[in-house]
Amino acid sequence: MEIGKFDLGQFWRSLEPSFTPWWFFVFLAFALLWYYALPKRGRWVILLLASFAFCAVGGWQTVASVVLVACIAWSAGLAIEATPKKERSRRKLLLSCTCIVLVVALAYVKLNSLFKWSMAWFVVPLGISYYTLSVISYLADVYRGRQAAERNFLHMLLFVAWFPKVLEGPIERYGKLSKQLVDGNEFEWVSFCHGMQLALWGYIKKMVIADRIAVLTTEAFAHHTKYGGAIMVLSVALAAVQLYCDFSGCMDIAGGVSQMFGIRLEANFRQPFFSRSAAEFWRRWHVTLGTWFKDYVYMPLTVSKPVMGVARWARKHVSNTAPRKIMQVMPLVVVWLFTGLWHGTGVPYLVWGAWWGVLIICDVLFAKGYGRVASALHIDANSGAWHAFQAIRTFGLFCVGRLITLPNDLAVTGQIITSIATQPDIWQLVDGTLLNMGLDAVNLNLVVICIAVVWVVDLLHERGVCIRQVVGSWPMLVRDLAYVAAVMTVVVFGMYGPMYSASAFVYMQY
Amino acid sequence: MKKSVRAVCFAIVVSVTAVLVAATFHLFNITRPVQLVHETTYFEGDGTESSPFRISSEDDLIRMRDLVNEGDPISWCYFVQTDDIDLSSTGPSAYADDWEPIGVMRSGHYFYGDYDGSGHTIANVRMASADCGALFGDLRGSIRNLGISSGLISGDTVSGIAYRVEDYASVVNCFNGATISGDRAAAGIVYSNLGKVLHCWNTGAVTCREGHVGGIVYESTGTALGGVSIGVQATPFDDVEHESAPRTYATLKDASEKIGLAYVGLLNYIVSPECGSVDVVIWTDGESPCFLGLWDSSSRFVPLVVRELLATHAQLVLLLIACFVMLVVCVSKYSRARGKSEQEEVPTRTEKLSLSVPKRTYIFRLMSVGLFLALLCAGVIGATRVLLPSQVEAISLREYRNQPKGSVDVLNIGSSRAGCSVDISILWNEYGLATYSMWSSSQTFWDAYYSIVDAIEANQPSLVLLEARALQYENKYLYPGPQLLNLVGVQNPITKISHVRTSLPQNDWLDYIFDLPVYHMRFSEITKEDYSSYEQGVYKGSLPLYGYYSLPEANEGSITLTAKKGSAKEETYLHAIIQLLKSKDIPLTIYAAPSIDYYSCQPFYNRVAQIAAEEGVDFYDCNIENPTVSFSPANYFSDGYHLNTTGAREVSHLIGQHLRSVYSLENHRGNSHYASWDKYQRVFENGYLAEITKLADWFAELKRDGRQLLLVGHWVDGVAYGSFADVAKGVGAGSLVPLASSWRNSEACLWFVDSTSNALNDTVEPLENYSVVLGSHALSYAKSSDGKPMLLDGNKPVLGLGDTSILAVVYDPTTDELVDVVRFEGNLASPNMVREDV
Repeated sequence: MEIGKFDLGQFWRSLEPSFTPWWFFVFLAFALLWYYALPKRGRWVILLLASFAFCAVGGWQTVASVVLVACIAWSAGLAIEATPKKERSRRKLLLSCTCIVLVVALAYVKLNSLFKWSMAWFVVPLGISYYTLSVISYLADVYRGRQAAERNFLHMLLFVAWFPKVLEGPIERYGKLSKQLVDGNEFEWVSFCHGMQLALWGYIKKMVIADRIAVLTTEAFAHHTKYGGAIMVLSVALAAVQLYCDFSGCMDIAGGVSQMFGIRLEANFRQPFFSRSAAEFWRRWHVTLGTWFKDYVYMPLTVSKPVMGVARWARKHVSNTAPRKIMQVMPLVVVWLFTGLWHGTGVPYLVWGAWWGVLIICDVLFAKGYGRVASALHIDANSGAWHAFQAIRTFGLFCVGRLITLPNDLAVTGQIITSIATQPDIWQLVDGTLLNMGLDAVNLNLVVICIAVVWVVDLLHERGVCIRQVVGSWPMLVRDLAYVAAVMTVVVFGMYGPMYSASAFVYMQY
Repeated sequence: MKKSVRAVCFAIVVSVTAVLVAATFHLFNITRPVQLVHETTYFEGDGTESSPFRISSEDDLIRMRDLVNEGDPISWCYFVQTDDIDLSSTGPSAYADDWEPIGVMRSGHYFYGDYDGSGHTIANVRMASADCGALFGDLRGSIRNLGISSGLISGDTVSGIAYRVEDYASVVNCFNGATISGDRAAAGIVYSNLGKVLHCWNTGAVTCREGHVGGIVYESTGTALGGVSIGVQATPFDDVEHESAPRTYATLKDASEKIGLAYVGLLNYIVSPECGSVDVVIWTDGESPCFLGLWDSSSRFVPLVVRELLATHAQLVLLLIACFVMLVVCVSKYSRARGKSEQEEVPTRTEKLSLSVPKRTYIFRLMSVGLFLALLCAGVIGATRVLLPSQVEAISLREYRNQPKGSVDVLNIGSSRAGCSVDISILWNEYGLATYSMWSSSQTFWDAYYSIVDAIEANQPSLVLLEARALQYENKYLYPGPQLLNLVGVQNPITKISHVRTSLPQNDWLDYIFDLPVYHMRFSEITKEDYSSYEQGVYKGSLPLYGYYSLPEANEGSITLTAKKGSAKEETYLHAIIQLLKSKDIPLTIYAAPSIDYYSCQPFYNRVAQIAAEEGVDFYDCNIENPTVSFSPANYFSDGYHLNTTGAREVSHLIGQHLRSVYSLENHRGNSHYASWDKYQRVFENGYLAEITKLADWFAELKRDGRQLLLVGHWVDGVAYGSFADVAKGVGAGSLVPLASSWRNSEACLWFVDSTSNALNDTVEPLENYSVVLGSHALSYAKSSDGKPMLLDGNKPVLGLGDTSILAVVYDPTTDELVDVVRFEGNLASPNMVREDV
């Protein structure tokens, strides 16, 4: 056995398709160098190669599914376009067949992991839920004539596989993104710096905050019977923050990395925790998913025959205001059913979809009633306190949703809710139990400080301050210091590496 | 941008990439670690991955077993089994009813290599009344694709393939069909797992007389995934907290239904991607299992997978076919549509007006990038300095670089035993040898090798003193904690990369090469010490340990003279160290430090003696040369392994004399180039005094040189003081202590003693009036808030005075520090020494 032998296969298998491991930075540096070194016309080839390499790290399943989806989209797009507009039914058939094929394939791989229909190596390809939706939107746009079908298969492949968005979105529209990808972008200093800042902020959110909170929440939910209600409430709230920091962090990294190539991705988060209602929350949380469902499910359904039929029936038999409400509510039911299923398979996700669906439908149906109650109680709807209350209430609703899906077992959710109601065990917050959940006092303080920083940043964004521009306008020394401070925050406080600590080390074994 | 500029940029990027790729390859070549050498010609093949040793018969297997159990380097090689083996033959090498496992604790030698059964089986594995029985013993390498088809393994704690799987070791794709019958514990594949047990399955009957039974593993702290055990009534010990942990099922069909395996006709398989490569085990649905195919990171199994796919996933295949048909249709349509669409002019994107950027801006941007990089470097260096583990062992490796060039006579290297056994002040004071101890806990010979390479490059010593304990380590890799501390000292990046490649499995290389990823989480435990630095150059890496080890009774027994081979990796690197020092013309003395645990160490020390004799290197065994130290743990040891300072002095005299007798070494005392050792001497002795907890030792140490002693008495019983003075007289320090007659009862008094002149300043005064200035320290008396008398240094409280106690302040005029402040209290004939008020 050769000592210190380098095994390429093992090395390749040790790579993970993610933004956080070391290899991603090397990969990114080379991709950027080559991108800007080539003449503008050929730059997209680098993006394609890089995206392919990134997908390949995720395994051959990911590459295969990306190629397959791109293939279907490309051919179906061309086919729809080639069919004369007069043959409407044929075009429609083509569109619906392709969409059904895509959705069935998506459902197959997702349900497969739930029911274990097939072999274990048939893992869910990375990001398939995200690019399937973007491809469907492309096909729908082609069908509606809003989008010319892509002739170059490789361009389509690049759109599907573009590595910053292939993992977790955002769900992009073809028209907006593809042009930016295919036309080479000139190097722009300010934009590049902004991209870097955005990515750095994303890394802080992901590696310093989300991954740190994960230690505590994983422990809490893994051994939920060990902990009282107070700790579970804290854990659920932290889990909500964790999801936000994790997901929005990834989006910031994706957006930032894209911007370094001169490509703008859609914003996916607009300070969701300042929302006043459930409906507003979903206009601010995972924005591209919301707009996708709005444009390609909600709107078409609203004007679809069955809904119109029911509305007409209601006008005759119920009342004049009923049709409008029916046209609002019926599509919402479908949208939230699918939103639930899109997020995950299994009963908890259906319940989760129903939870949000009911909340939003209530918002729609009883908006006037809420207003009346508020004015009866002499509440100033514009006051800061009322806004704060609403924001906290929305956060609470979000936490309940998180509690439904996080244990992935409704029985456990029930147990946790029971323990919160009956066994608060508040002393566990102070008697050291909290400190034994994987994070010591220093780390917990760090979590608190970081959450405060994220809150302040979001507040500034909410007030319309563009922090990146502000930082960019600082004097060189201060600005560079800020950058280095951010990098060092990730390097020192980030959760990565083998987690060595001297206290875990048995002094002088021999 | 101009075309020419663009071309230059392109050329730069291409060449940067090329240079980096080439440099990476080059780096891999120049950092290749020292390799093991084996001389076996018995087997076909050369033991490498590409041409493994071939095992095709019972004789081969037994030969391999015996070589491994003797500690032959082939235990690190690759093996492949090329045929089914039946262990029931009755040849000259036949065994009665007891297969001795390959690599067991009893022999002290283990299997570190790779055994690929390549789908073959071993039949009739029989073991009776084994303590720890299995085909392989304590596994430190890997076993793949091997099956035990039949046999009976019975004994105390037993299992099928391997008894114990260590960290980094793995058992993959193996099955057991033999009957396993244990008294206390039994498992189908592995008894105790710390590493990986993947995709194994068991169809043998596993029973246990009084303990628990595991289908696949009995107990596991490592990874055990994807295993299936059929027909075994497993008890909860088997339950590993993981959803794909091995499961036990009544029948094969039951298993396949419950896990959701594809189950088609005769073919069944367990597949799971967790182990990196995709591994497939296939067995028949009949009574006796057999391998039909394996897929181990090679593609020879692919056709079978496709066949399976067709059989089980018609829907998926149909989907693929539909896609293909659609593609064909579309392409034909596309070619027709193309003619039309090409006539449409695609509107050209209006070129963005490129604002001309002034040259100054470019310069500013470049400056900003430079500043950013500089600040980043500063940040990383700062973080490294603060977060770097601050245990003494890590510092002892790092600080060697800061010694004055060419001033180190003796480089003492080894484990913590090297650090605590050599008293540098003795070697310096009495033999004039400037010694540096470069020790780290659990230091292996490969760690020592790279530390020496790095040390020689930084500052070549005249002589290397190597502690021999490392031969006893039998691990393939060291534990991560000690390994990190052994690594952070090496400065030369090339040496460091080789070191990391030798010491850690591949997936950990990068973390340890850049090492900040390993210890950055220390930020939550940093203390003041992590910021403060010790005086550079004066630190000599010594490890003085105080206190005494209390053994219930004196150690007995005699020292064995038999020798035992160490692990091949340790022996290889011991040879490498010897060769390295020979090539650099640096003399080497290997020594065995006194050990209480000589019963386990001594055979290895004897082996080192053999190697030293073969290589013509000096070897000194303290256990044999001076057994008194080894046999008096109560006097010379601070714990079960380490000498205390008294023991260290004893041993240092022995080593000093030995070195003087073997080499002609110059006495460097008084040489100004070696001034840092004089400085060290002083600092060390002061620190030493402040740690002593025995009155006699304390006075004996005080006698050694010119420090000043201030005694403050506060007592009720003059007789008690008299006995204190007697103790001092008893150890020959009577002249330092005022006579009993000088004391007046029930009064606090002060004496001032200069130990250089031995003059007694008999200034007995009431304590309330007393104050004295020692250098920058103004000592005075005060009463604390609760009315108890105490001594102040300036305004800072030093130590309180008890009711019946004597306070001793030792002052060193050369360093201007209060070396020690101690309160003697209780029975003053054998007083307690208290240094801190609670």
